Amino acid sequence: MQLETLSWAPDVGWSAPIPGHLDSESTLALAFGDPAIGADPIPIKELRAALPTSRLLGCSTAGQILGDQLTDGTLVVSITRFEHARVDTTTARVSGPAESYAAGQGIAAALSTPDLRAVFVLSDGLLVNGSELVRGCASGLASDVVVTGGLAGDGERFERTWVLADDEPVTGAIAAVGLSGLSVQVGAGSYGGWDIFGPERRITRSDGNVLYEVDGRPALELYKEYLGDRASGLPATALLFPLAVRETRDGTNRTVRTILGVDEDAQSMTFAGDVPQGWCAQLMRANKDRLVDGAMQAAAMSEVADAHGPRLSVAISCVGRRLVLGERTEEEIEATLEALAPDSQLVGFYSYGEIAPHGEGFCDLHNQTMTITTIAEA
Amino acid sequence: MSQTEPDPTHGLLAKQLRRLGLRADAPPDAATWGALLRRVSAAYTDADDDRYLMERSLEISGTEMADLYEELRSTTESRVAAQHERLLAVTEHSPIAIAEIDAHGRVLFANPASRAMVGGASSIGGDGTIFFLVHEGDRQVVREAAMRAWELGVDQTITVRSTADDGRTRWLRVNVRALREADEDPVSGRWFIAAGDVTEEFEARQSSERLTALLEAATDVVAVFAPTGELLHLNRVGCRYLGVSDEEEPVGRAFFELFDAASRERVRKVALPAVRAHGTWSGEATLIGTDVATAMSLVVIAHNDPDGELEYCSAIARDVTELKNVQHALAREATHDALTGLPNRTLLLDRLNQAVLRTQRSGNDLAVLYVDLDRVKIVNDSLGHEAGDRLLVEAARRLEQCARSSDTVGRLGGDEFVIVAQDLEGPRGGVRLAMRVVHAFHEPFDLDGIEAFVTASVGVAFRVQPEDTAVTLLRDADVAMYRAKEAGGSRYELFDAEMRAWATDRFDTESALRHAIERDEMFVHYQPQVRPENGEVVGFEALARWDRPSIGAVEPSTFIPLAEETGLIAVVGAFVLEQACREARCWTERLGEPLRLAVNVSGRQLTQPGLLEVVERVLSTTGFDPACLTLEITESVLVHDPAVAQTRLEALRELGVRTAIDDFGKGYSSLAYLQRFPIDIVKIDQVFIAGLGREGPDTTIVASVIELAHALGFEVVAEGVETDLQLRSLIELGCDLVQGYLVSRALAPEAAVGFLAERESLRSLAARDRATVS
Repeated sequence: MQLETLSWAPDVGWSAPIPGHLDSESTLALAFGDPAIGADPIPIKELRAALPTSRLLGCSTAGQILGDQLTDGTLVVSITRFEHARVDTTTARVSGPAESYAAGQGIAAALSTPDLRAVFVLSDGLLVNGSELVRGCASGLASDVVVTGGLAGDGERFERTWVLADDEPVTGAIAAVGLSGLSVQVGAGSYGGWDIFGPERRITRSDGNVLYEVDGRPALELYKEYLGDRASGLPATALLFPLAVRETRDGTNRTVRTILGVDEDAQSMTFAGDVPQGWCAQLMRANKDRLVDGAMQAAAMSEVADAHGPRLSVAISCVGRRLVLGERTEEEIEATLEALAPDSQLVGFYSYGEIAPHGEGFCDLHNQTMTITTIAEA
Repeated sequence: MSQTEPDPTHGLLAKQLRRLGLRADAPPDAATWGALLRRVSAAYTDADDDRYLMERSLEISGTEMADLYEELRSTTESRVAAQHERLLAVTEHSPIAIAEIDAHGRVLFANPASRAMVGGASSIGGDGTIFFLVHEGDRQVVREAAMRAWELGVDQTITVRSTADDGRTRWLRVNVRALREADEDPVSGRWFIAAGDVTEEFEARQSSERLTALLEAATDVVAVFAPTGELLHLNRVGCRYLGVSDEEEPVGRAFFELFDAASRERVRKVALPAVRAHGTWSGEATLIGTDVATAMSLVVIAHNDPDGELEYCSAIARDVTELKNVQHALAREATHDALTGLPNRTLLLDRLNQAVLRTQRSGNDLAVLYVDLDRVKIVNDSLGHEAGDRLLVEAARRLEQCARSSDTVGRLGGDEFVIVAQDLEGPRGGVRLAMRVVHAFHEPFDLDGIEAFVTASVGVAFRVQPEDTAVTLLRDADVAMYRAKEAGGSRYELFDAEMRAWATDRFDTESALRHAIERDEMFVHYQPQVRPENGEVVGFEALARWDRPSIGAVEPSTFIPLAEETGLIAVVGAFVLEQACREARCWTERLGEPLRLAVNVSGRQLTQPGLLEVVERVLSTTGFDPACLTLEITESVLVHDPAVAQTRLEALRELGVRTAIDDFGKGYSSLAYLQRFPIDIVKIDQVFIAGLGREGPDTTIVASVIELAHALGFEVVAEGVETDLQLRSLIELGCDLVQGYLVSRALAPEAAVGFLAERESLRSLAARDRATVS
């Protein structure tokens, strides 16, 4: 396996020449860029021109990660040429969240091979119900296939995200790559590091990923009360208080939900995953040190035991974490990098949702986590 | 800066410096300084934001948590308080006595029911322990239960007696629970006691047990069963019938199984619907025991639930075999002749009726044989009634042997029997049967070694006309029998057209006779009785006369026997007596001297009740002097029923009425026999008078009768005197009075009056002659 990473910035151009020699049908190029690139995708076109046969996957973000650097306005790229593994890509299009499950099923069907080891998914961040997408995808795959990925971001704006479909940055698209072959080594780790606080509330009215009321009170009102002055920054500021949901008060499996948008008229809030009615919800808040520690733990979890040659680590972290960490955001990137093997190269982005398996291997959509996918060849 | 001093630079600031390529110990250029300030400012802002949100969220969530806690606390407190209230109320109002005691039985807590249960005692007397409230004999039971509850950790339930203040013993069901802490010594333990008064339940159970014992001991079958018939309870006797042992329960068995098929149907289709409709049903049913069927009287009673729906039934069945036997015996007695065991008149008529109905349908011949035994009276008189009875029993047996099994042989009474023979193959069958009967009596009867000859007269009537009924057939056969008897007996006669005509005539006469008096067809004629020596009219014999329209005068010899047979004689007799007394009373008044009147009384009239009352009434209503009235009776009545005759005659003498024996000499009696009775007059039968003054024994007979009668104190009347010769003889023999055609025939009242007047003038004339002569 050969691997190179590089970046593109509007005024600077490419940080290094595009390694055209790595181009092959078993070459995977990952490109995470500023939402603005969608309007004028010059670097995407240059990338394709240099790597005509490579598999190209990309999306918009809420901040790009390359090495220990967090940048905005750029495009970060990793180019990996596999020696033995087969690389297949597929895309799906949706017009709304209701089609998410079917899209997931379609992806699984397209990528299924007998020796499929891993699927990496990039999805539109606003038009797709991530939970449903992951469920649909998992339903068509063997349980030992590692599914990871993330939802595209739009900075702190929550307006429009794009995913490359046939090299075009479009909304409503889902792109996925399947890695097949015995040589493929994939590790995944995901960790939050948030603290729950305040009373646990009952979700008294919701519809899918749209939350209306908790404890009979408009959810938006509750958030505004907590945010105080910062309520004017909604919906982004709501990321400071993600929601931990579980089915019952005795349930152990808490899932974290990130807010994607608010509707003042309906007094509702839209989350990146389901917030089922009748479930219990509790506000969460950040402890910055623990977020950083969490990132480190996720990196450690993603370690690949038996790698031969370089390792590609893809870090997908939640936009909420960036919002909370602020000036200290790079600390979690540095901590991640520290926890990775020395020959690892890190690319990634801040997303609207992370896809990774639970501890027990069951894949799900996460929010507010740092998710690391480490890819190598034995 | 020394090596040992810690780096004074904040980690974030150090990172910011590093990112901007600055060093802590060298000032930056202006541009980098600006960038650094921006980053530092951002870090401060971050920190401010953090602090703001932290404080705010702490405050809000703290308030929220405080509110929640308050809410929780208040609800919990009120819940606990409410729970306490409830528990208190339940304890206070519980009908169950609840108490807490210590190891000595001392009461630590007791609810009101506890006090009420022991008769309202406000405090526990005696040693202050709960044991004081328990009956002496049960205290140990309570102690043991408490220890068991302690050791086993399981509630103990016991039933003990308690003596209340009023001295009554109450039964309590007590639950004992040990309130035990781990490793606690029972000496410091406490117990929880809950007691309910079960006296009523206990007494009800005892009463129920007594009742059950009673039912079990009963000889009647007692059953309780569901409307479906399923047995809920069956007492011992019932179980025995069902073939279930005493220990077994007749579970799953049906009430109906107790009965035979017919009764089962009746219970299902009649009894149960009646029970549903009216609450009870009583009737009869046959129980089939393990070996024998038993007649039972059965009473079924409904028990309804509060909604009025039939819930279950109870039934009592009693063995009525004995009763049935008695009923059968009574029924037999009512329909059978006690002496011979043959059907009596009632049953015979019933059988005959049925035979008539059957004959109407089948068209087969039906014959009725009326059998009268001749000479039974002689056997009775000579050998006694016991022998007579044996004779009748043997006669009945012979008749049964003559008859076929399908025929009915019955006894009408006395020596009269009837055979109803049906489904005969033509009239010859009836004739052959009659011949067999007559022949069967040719053999003598052996009565204790004495041979008695009794023959049978048989009358046979066939059903030939549609209108023939049981009554007419019997009557016809009787008529035919009478003919056989008239013809000498020991023979049979068939009822024929001539007899039918005779019978019809008799029937017509009878019905005409019934109306004769009310239609004024009946009259009284008077035959004078005179003294033979001077012709003095002493009185008259009153004689009934019937002037039947369109036929004319009917002879007394025709209608008197008929009246006697039909019972009309009482009416006719009373009429004659009253009419005669009234008219004679008038004549007496006219004459100014007493006039004797003789009125005939038939044997039947004398023996039947009512005669005395009639005589008394007539005497009082007419004012006729009893001493002038003579009632004439025939001697036969004195022979057939001497005891009754004696009584009646004595009663008549009490009234002052005289009695005469009519037609003396025709029967078997003697004057010596007559002497036993209160008789005043003897009337010598005209057959003897007819031979007076001629060759033969009559003059001697009449002479000795008159002589002996006078010797015995009887007055003598001669009747049927028709010649001067007879009159002269009677004068010679000293006869007291005479009557007959020589003097006068019976006269209508007006003629009788004329006769009296004429005789009176004659007598005056004679007296004058005598005076002239002398």
